[in-house]
Amino acid sequence: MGGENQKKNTYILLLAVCIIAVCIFVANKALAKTGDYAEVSVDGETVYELPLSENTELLITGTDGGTNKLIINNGVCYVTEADCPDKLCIKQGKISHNGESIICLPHKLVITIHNSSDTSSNVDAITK
Amino acid sequence: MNGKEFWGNDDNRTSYVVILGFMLALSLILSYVESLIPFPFGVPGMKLGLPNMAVVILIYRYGAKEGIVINVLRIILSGFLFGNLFGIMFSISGALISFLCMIIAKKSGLFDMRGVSVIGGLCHNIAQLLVAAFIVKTSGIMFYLPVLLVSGAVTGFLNGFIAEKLSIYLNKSFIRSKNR
Repeated sequence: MGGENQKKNTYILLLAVCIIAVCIFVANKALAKTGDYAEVSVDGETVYELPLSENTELLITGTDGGTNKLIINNGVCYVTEADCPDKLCIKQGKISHNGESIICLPHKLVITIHNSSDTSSNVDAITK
Repeated sequence: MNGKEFWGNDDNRTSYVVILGFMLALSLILSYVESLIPFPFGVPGMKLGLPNMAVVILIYRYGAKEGIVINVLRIILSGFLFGNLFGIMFSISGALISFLCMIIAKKSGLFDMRGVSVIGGLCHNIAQLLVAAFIVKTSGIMFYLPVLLVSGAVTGFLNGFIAEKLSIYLNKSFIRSKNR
């Protein structure tokens, strides 16, 4: 009966997706190190590089003139105010691990945490 | 479920138009309901995908042509009613890719209605993530992939389940009204 096979395949698909997702999640967590600086980029271009060790408050202007307020406090980085419609950047919460990011699509703004000892990131560009 | 028996025999044009209009209205109202439900996680592109329910029913009832027409109309109309132009462009990319994958999944005959819907949900989320990665020019966005995979699979499964049950009841009610 084809219907039974289709049912079985659906459950196999669900299970496979969950296993893959868990693998990627574990891999992400295992590779994650705490970062030490936040890279702020607008439309793919880096505009600021801020050390997480210093408490900072910064108003960032995105591509369409919109603004996001970025706070760095006790080594964690987050957005408190934004004039975009969906406020997803605020809901994305606090980030501190290497590779974590906050993304505001309407303003083409990306805040990414990096680790300066990580050889894959460009160490030369850190300003302190 | 081969789908051909849904709503009895409707080879006349009037019921064809009525049912397509009905499905467009259903997908629109589902878009609206979806926009009312806030999804409490800060992951971009994560949503319930309720309108996919109507799309799955259409694919099974009629086929690719009707499915894509209703899908595109739904996105444009709901975009102007409840969203903005940016939202339309963003969701049309995910919708088209997920639609294509659902057609392929259905043609392959490997999955039932729920499985096809799961494929749709997964591909929609992956496509939107890729578009988002392209717009902001970063690969760091892939951090969201596991969450989006699981949410796409779960919401896709639930939508497919509801679509399966819904099509049975729609089938019954349309047959009853025919016999009256």
